Amino acid sequence: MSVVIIGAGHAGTTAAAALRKFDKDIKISLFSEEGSIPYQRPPLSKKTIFSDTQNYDLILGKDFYNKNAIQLNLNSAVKEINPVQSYVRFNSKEIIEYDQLIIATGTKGYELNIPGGELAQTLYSINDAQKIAKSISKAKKIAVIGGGFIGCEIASGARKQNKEVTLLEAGASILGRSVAPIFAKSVSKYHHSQGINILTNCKALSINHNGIETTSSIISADLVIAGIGVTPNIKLAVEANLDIDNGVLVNEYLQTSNENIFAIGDIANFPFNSDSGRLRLESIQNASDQAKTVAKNIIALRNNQQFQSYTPIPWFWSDQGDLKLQMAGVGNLNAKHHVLENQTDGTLTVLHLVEGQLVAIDTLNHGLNHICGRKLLSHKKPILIDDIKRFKGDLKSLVKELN
Amino acid sequence: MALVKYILEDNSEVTIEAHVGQNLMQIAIENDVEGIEGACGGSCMCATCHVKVESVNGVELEERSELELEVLEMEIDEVATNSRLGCQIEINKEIESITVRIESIQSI
Repeated sequence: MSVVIIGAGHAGTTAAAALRKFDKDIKISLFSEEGSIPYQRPPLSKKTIFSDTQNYDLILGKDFYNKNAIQLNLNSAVKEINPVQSYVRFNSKEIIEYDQLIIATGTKGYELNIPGGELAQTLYSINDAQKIAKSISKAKKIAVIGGGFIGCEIASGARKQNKEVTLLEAGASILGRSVAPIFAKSVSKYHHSQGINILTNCKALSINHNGIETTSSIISADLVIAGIGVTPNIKLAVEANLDIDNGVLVNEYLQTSNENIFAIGDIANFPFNSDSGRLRLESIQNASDQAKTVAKNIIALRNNQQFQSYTPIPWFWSDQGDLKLQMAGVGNLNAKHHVLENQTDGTLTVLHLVEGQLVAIDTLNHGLNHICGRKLLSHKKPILIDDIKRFKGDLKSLVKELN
Repeated sequence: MALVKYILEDNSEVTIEAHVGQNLMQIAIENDVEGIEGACGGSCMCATCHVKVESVNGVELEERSELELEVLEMEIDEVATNSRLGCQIEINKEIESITVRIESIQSI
């Protein structure tokens, strides 16, 4: 029995380890386009770029693969999935057959489609991180295009190194798509207080070696970094005729439209109780939890056992200067936002409420409320704003009462 | 330098010489110690590096932070008085040796 995994990011690598834990005998082959032993991506925009040695963390120890009979193939880009004859093909025309296939090809950064766009550096891999680190150390004036998590992390890290930093955001606010507006405002205020020049409603028109021409002004910069979001790597899945819509469509068991092909991590668009009834997440929590679910389901498929559904309480974090942002749950367009009262200085907790019911929680420098929020969101019954108000903002006491 | 002994689920033991500044989660991953995952990269946001501290020589460990305890209580069915997150125990100059028992990862 053979399982092939395409992509050795957090999802693919964790799936390989989980499969091995469940079954000592399955043949497991893990393919990576990259040349590095699988490593953690979240630290790249945090400690890797801004540490002296650009050190990075492996997902599993370098000897794990050999010891556990996981065939790790680096520098190995899969060129084709043949779902009819159940094999994957490489450049060399070499093929490997599978019984079950896991697609975990992740995402790639959007290209900055403006004149001089190629001058902007982007971050996805360890190689990118090392290159950006070198460029930042030489630069004096840095412009970051994109006020999402990656852009904010890089901007705040560079500012800590006393660089002159301008952050350009095309929308009305940084972190606009990700957190409650009042939360984003607070983060923005902090970055401003640290001396980052934030320009909102500002689009880059062109880049040259002197800086960026934007819709509002010309920004002088000797280094431009773009963090304008990512798009799922679906080429292989499209060519294999799998159902596609904002990523690869999977059912609650993470199975694609082909019963022997599963998709996990950033590319998987799975059923979820959201506005559209579906969700695609780019996070460690999602990659890691889907990897474990898919491993269980592949074992279940072989043994004719019951599948397990993927029903997450999504969570995510971002480190920006002295701020730790932690988000749990999924907000939506109809949500109302409620700032938790009676909190200590320097922290912020914002609840997302739909019809008075808690659906998500954003916390700033408040790990405890984040953890409590995850507990509340995973509670069997819906948590209502009235429950929270009864405890005057003390989430921990509410959690205790519910237990 | 400190000696870190991990007792695995099958009761076998692995002893590693660790450097000051590393935490018990990082040390375990770098050395392929089975049963420690570190899904959140040491951000104190999951409990996939749960260990029970059996003994410490050289110095007493600092108490668990409120946050660490909350994470343990959320993720672990039965939190013992010596339950810790490996990522929150950093090797310092005072620690001569430490022995921890690895608990099965709850989320798998």
